[in-house]
Amino acid sequence: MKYRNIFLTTVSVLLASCTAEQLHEQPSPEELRPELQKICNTSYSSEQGTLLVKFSDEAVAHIEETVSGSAATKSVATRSGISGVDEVFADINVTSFGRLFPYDAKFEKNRRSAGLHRWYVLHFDESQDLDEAARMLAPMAEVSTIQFNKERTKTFSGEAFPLGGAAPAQTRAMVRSDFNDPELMWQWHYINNADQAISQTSLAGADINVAEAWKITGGDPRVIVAVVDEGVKYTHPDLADNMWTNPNPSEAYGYQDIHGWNFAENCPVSWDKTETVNGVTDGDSGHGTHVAGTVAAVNNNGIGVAGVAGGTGAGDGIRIMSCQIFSGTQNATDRSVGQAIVYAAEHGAAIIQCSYGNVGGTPITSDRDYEAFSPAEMEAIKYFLDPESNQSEAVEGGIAIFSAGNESNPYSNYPGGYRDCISVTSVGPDGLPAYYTCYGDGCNITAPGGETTGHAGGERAGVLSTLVSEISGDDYGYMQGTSMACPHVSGVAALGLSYALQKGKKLTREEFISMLLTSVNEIDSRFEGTKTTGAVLNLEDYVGKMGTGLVDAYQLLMQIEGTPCLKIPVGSLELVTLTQYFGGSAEDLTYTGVEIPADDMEKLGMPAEPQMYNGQLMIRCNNPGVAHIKVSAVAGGKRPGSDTIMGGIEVTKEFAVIARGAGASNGGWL
Amino acid sequence: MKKYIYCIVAAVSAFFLAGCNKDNPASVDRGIVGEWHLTSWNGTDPAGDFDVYVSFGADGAFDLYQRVETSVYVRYSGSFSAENGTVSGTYSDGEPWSAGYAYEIGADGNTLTLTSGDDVSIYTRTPVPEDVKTASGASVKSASGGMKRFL
Repeated sequence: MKYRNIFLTTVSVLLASCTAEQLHEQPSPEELRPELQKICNTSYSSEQGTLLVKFSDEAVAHIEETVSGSAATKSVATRSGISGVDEVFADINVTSFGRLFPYDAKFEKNRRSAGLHRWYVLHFDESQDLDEAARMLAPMAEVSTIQFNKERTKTFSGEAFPLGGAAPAQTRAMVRSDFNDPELMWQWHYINNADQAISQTSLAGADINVAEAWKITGGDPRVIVAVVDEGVKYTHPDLADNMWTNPNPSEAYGYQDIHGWNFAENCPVSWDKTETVNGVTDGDSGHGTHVAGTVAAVNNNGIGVAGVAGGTGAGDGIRIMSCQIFSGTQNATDRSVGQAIVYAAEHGAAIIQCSYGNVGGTPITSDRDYEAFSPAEMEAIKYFLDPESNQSEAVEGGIAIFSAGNESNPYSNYPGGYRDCISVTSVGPDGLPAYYTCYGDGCNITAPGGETTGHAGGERAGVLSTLVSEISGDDYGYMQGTSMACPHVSGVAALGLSYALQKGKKLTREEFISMLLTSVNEIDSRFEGTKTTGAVLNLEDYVGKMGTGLVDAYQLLMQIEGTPCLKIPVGSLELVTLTQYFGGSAEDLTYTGVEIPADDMEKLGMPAEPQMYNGQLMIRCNNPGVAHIKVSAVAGGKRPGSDTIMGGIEVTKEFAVIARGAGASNGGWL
Repeated sequence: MKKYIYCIVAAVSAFFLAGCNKDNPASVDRGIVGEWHLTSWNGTDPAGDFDVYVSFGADGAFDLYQRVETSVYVRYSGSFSAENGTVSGTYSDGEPWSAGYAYEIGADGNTLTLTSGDDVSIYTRTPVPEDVKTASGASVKSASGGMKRFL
C-alpha cells in the first residue's frame, strides 16, 4: 500500500509537470533558500526588464532621500543610495528606479499608512534574465518582497460582433420601458421577453429586472464607477455625457487625466490602438468601451443602447472613470493594475468594475496564496476597499467587482475569488449557465454575460453595448463573457448606491454588499439535464455554484428603501423562508448564525433560540412584541472564504420580528 | 296638486334609494374621525421598525397606510363603524379586520387607544404625510411567467 502511494505520487508529479507553465512554476532546491522566499511569484508571463520591489521601512527613508535628490536635478533615479542594493542595480544595469505609487502630497498620508510608499519599480535591460535579477536582489536585507510584473487577461471571448442593420424580428415582444433608446429592444439582458429572435430557449425574466428599477432611479452623477480595463472611448456619442470629468487634473499626469488615465502606457486614455503582424491584428478590441456601456450608456437620449445606471435622459446617470490597464498590445500588469486601482480610490470611485483576471500559470485556490502571489495588486485593492483611503461620497469603503473567468473552471479566477471582492458568473438568455463561465468556489452572484454561439439569434444572444467604431466599424455590437456579466452587477450596484444617496443614506461597504448579494432571483431549480450551446454542459454540476442567484436591480432598490419586518403569529412554532432578506435563493443558502438579544427572547416568551432549519427560520414566540434578530449566510457556496479556503462572502441581515396575535390575513395591520 | 304628489313620491323614493346604497355612512363616533399615527404598540415605539397611519372618515371609510412587512408603504382601504366604544371594519377586498377593537379617545381628543385582548395600540392625531400617501400609491408590476421573482 505504501509503495502504491509512492508510485501514485510519483506519477502525479510527473503528469503535473507535463505542461511548460507548471514545469516553470516548480521551485528548485535553490529556490527554496530562505532569502528567495522574498520572491513572491514567478516570471511566467511577466514583463521583461521590470521588477516590483518592496523595501523595509528602515530602507525607505534612505531611498527617498536619494530619489528626491535625483528629482531635484530633474534626472531619472537609477540608484537607491544603499550600497549593497546599488551594486546589484549596477550589475543588472538599472535604467530607472522610482515609486510604484508616486508621491502625491494630497494622498501621501493614506499611502504611507497603507505601506504603499514602500513599493518601487525598477527597469533594466530587457536582455537581463528576470529570475537571475530577482535572485540577486533577494539576499539584500533592505528588500522585503520582490514581485515579477505579471500580465493580466481580459475575460471575454475576444470577439466583437457589430450590430449592423439588424432586421426587425417577427416575434420580438414589446419592451417594458419608457426609454427611447432604439436598440434597447435587443438588450434582452435588461428586459428579457423570451424573444425567439434572440433564442428559442430565451426565458422571460432571465434579466436583471432593471426596467422596474428605472421607474425609481436611473443613477446619480455622484456615483463614480472606475472601469479598470481597456480605455473607454469617452467621445462615444452614447457615453460622453456620462463620463467622469476630473475637477482637479494632476500635475503628476501633466494635467491630462481628464476622464481617467492610461496606466498601461502612462499617457492619456486611448481606445483604438491596434497592430497587424503577418495578417493578424492585435490590440484594443473595444472591451473597455463595451463594459462601460453596460454600466452607464446614456439612457433615453434617442440613440443607441441603454446602460444599467445611465440615467433617465436628464443628465442623471452615474459617472464612468476610465482607469486604463490594457492599451494596444500592452497587456495589463501588476504595476498598471495597482496604480489604476489606487487612482480610482483617490479620485472618488465607489466601484471598481474589473473584467480581468490572472493569466495562466498554476491555479490559485486560496486568498492567502493570492496575497502572497500578487501583493502589489492586493494592497491596492485593500486600499480601495478601506473607508480611510477611499474617497467615494457614495459608500463607506469601496466595492470591488470582478468577472469570475471564462475557462469553465469550477472555481473563480482571482482577484474575484478573494473574499472581499465580488466574483460574477455568467448566464445566457435562457437563464442557465453560459457554456464558458467559471463557477463554484469564490463565485458570489450571476448576471447575463450572453452566449454568441449556439442560439437561434447567433450573436444576438450575446450582450449588446457600445463599441469603438474605429475598430469594429460600428458604435454598437455584441460580446460575450463573464466580462460582460460583471458590468451588469457593477451597474446594478451603482444604481443601488445612487438610490441610497438620493434617500440620504451612506452605507458601509459591508451593509451594501449584504444587500447586493441578496438582491437576486433563484436560478438553480432549472439546472436539470444538459444544455448545448458553445459546449455541452451537465447542468447539475452548477447547482449551488453560480453564486446567490441572478442579480435583480429592483430588489436592491427595495432593500435600500428599508428593511421589512417579519410578522409571525403568537403561540405556534413557525418555519419562515427569509426571501425578503436573502433573496430568491433564501431556502438554498447556507446559514452561519442567528443572533437575538436575551432580553428580546424573554420579552417575546421564546422557549428556545431561533435557528435555521432546512433554509428556514424556526421560531416560536409566546408573547406579542418586537424583537431584533441577526441572521448570517454565505453568499456564494457552502462556506465563507478565509485565508486558506476559497469560499463565499458572509452576509448578515438584521431585521425586526413582530410577534402578534392580531392582524388581518391580507396583511392589514387592523 | 299632482305636482306636489310627484314631488313627495320623488323625495320618498330618493330617501329609500339612498338607503339602499352600501356607501351609506355607518355609525361613526365623531371623535374617531381624523388621521392617526401609531406611536405605541404594546408599550413599544415602532419607530425605526415599522410604521402605521390610519385615516377614519366621517363617511365610514378608512384608509390605512402601513410599512410593516414591506420596504414601502402599502395602502389598504375599506369601511368601518365606530359606536358604543367598539370600532370594527372590513377591507375593500372583503376581508374583515382581524378583530373588533375597544377604543378610547383621550381627553384632549388627540390620542386614540385601540385594544383587542392583550394587543394595545396607541395612536396620536397626526396628518398622514404627503410622501407616505404618494409612496403607497405607487404600484409595481411583477413579471408574469418565466423567471420566478419574489417581488
